[in-house]
Amino acid sequence: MIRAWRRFWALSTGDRFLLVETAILLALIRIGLRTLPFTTLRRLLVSHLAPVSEPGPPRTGEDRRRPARTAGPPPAGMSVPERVAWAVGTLAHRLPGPTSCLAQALAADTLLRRRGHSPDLHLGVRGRPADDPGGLRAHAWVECGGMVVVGDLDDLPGYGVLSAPER
Amino acid sequence: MTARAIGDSALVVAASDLLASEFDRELVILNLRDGVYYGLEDVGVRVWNLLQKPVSVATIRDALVSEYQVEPTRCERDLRALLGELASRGLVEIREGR
Repeated sequence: MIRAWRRFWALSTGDRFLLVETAILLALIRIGLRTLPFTTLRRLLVSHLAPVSEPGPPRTGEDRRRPARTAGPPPAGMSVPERVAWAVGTLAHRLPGPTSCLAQALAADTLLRRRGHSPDLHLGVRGRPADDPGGLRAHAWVECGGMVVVGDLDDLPGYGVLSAPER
Repeated sequence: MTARAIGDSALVVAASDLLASEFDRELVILNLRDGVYYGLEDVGVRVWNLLQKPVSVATIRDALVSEYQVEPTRCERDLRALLGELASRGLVEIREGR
């Protein structure tokens, strides 16, 4: 606990703020998911949170990469999506109890939107609903700037993305 | 739960706040309001596609009768049962005509 505290204060101001904001968001989202319809929660997150200006390094490439999974502060020069991935990934495992993929996706989506990015939050399913309804697996993830920010899985390409029907 | 009766002049349409994904002849629908997943297959998928715009029960029935060679009365009965079930789950809206 003391070590974590010291590590926290060794971070840059921007990273400390990001971690605090992420922690608060994750806590609110976890409660919101239990108490509100998803659409209502999403609308609240998007419309009630003011944008945050984020001094980040210039974005270099758009290659699809996994964010670093190591513990510790993000190395200098990380893009905003990578820093959001770091913040959500770090805190999702530290909060008491499980933090669902949906909560992490909503948090990452909100953090990125507040910083002027245009993330894509995807909900997907895999499995054979007719053959094995109990085996249907649902997942949520966020893509931004060509990378999977949170929710990357080895079998992610096997998930069928749920989308809004064409009207 | 008994399905509510749908008037002949009523239009049915898929509800909003839904996401769906089609795999072969199966369809998974997620109701975003309550987070529940539903599955439709075969004819149900065809009915779902027809529901994307407001449509009368008779229009769907006629399409199914011509595409699947089923007996119209039986088709309409089963169709109304399906639509009633979908409506009770909040997946379909019923807009009664005047």
